[in-house]
Amino acid sequence: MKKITIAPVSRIEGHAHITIHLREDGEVESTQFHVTQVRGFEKFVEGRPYYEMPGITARICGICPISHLLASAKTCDALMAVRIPPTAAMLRELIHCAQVVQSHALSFFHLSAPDLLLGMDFDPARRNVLGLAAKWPEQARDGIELRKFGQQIIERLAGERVHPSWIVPGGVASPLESEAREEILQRLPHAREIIRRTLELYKSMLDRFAEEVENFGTSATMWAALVDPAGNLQLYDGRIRFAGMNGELIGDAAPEQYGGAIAEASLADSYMKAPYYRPLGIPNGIYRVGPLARLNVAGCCGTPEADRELAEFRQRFGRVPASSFHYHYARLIEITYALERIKQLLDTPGILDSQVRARAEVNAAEGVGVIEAPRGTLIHHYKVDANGAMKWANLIVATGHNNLAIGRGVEQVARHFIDGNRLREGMLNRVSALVRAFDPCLSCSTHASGVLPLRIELRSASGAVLDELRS
Amino acid sequence: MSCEAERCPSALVIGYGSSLRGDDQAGPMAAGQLSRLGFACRVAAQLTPELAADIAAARRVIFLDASVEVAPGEIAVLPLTPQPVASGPFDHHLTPAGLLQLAVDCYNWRGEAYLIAIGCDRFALGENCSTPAQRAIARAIRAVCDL
Repeated sequence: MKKITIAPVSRIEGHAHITIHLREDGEVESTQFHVTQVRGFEKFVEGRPYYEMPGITARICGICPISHLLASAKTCDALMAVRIPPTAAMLRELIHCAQVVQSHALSFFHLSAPDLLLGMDFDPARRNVLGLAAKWPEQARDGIELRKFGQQIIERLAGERVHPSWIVPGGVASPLESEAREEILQRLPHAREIIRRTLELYKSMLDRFAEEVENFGTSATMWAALVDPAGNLQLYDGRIRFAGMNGELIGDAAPEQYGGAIAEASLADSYMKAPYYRPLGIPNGIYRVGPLARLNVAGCCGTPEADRELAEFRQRFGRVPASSFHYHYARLIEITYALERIKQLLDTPGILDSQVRARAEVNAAEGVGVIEAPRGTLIHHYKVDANGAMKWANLIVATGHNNLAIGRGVEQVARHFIDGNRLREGMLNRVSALVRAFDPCLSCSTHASGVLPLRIELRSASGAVLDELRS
Repeated sequence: MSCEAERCPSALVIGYGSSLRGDDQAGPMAAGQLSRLGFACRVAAQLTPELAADIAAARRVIFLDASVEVAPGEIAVLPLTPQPVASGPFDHHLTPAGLLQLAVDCYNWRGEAYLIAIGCDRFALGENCSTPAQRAIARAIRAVCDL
C-alpha cells in the first residue's frame, strides 16, 4: 500500500497532518486526519482561583481569545450565581460580534481566498495572502480592512487586541465611552460596503466550484448550534439545539445540561477529542458546528440584510445545505449579521450605562458557560472548592465538535479528487481546502478526554508493525 | 534622552516579538519607549497583514525585532525593500519585507524602511530581558532617533 502525507496542512490555525493510504491501483483506501499538538489546559488550571480562568484560558489561542474570555467569564458568572447587568451583557455581545468579524475575515480573506480567487491548482508557492494581493489587490485590501475593523472595536472596548483583561467574572471591567461608540459607528458603513461587495463577488464565482460543492464533506451529519428562545441565530447566549441532517429538531439542551447531550470519544491517532450526540452515538450522532451549522439550525438571523442573504442562500442550495464548502458562504452571511448586530447594540438605549459589573463570592460549586465562537459552539465547565479554587475543568472547543465530520470530509474529498497514478499538487490542496473550509482552530481544540491517546509505532522498512506502545 | 520624533512625523515604528519569551520582547519594549518619545508605534506579537494599512500612511517604516544573528548587546540597522516572500505555509504572520510588499500591492505604498535587529540571546519563558538585550534596546532607540 502506498501512503501520501500532507504535512503540515497549511493556512489553518494550529498543526495537523493528513495520511492518505492508497491501494496498489492508485485508488484511495483510507484517510486519517491527525492533530499533532497537545495542550493540557484542563489539567494545569487545577488549583488556580476561578477568577483567573478567563485570563488563563484566553491564552489557549491568539486568534479567538475573546471567545474563551466570554465562555470562561460566563462560567464564572454561574459559579458566582450572579445575573450580570444588562449593559454588561450587551457589551460582551458587542465585542463578540467584533471578534466574529475579524475571525471570519481572517478565515475567508487570508486563509481561503487564495484557493477561491487564485484557484485550487494555482502555484502553491504564491497561493497565499501575498499572491492574493498581487492579483486581487482590492480583495486583499478589503480583507485587511474588515479584519482591522473588528480588531479596532476589540481594542477600543478592551484596550488590547489580543488577550485583553476587560471581560471579567460578573460583567466587563469598564463601560463604553461615548467617543468610542461614535468612532465605531463612523467606521461601520465602510465595513458593511466591504462585506456587500465580497458577497456579490463570492456568489458570482460559485459556479466555478460546482465539483467542490458536490464533493466537499456532503455526508449526512447532524447540526448543532445555540439558538435564542424563538429558535433564531444567537452567538452569545441561548440553548444548544441539535438538528438532523435535514434540519429537523432532534433535541435542545440547556448549557448546564450539555453532558446529557454530548459525549466525547478519544481517537487513537489524534490529540483532538471527538464529541458526538450522546443519545445516537457514533456514527449517527456525528454533528457539525460553526457558521454553516448555525444557519442550518436557525430559523433566521434576525437582522434584515443577513436574512435577505440567508433567504438567497437557501433558495440556491436548499433549506439545509449539506456541503461543507458552504462554510465560506455562511461565514460571509454571518459577518453581515455581526455588522448589523453591532449597529443594533450601539443604538440600544443603555449601551453607555456605567453599571457593568456584578460582584460576588463563589456561590456554586459548579458552572457551565457556552457561547458560539466563530468556529462553533464553545463550552467551558468548571468545578471549584468552597474557596473558589479550581478542582476540575472541561473545555469542549468548536473545532473538536467538527473532528469526526472533518475526518469524513477528508476521506470523501480524497476519494473523489485523488488519483494515485497521476498525482498533482492541486488534488492534495483540495484535501487541505476541505479542512480549511471548517476554519479549524487546532490550538484550541486539542484537549484531553481522560488518558491522552498517545501511540508510538515501530515499523520495519516494509511497513510492518514491529512493536507498539500505548499510553 | 533627547529625540526629535517630529523630525519625521510620518514615521511608523513597529516593534514585534513575544512578551513572554525573555529577550524576544526587545522590539516591543523599544517601541514602547519610543512611543513615549512621541513616535507613532505599533506593538505586535508577530507581523500580521492588518499592519499593511498602518504602513500605508507612513513615509518611513522602522521594524524592531530581537535577533540572534547580531551579537548580544549590539544592533544592526538594515535597509529593507518589499519582497513577495511569504514567511511559511501558515500565513499567520509575515516577514517585514513581505508586509511591505503587501502595503505596496494593496495601498501603492512608496516609502523607505529599515529593520533594526536587536542582538539578544535569551529566549526562554520569562518576562525579563537580559542585561545585553537592555543595552541593545537603548542602542536601538538611539538608532531610530538618528535615522
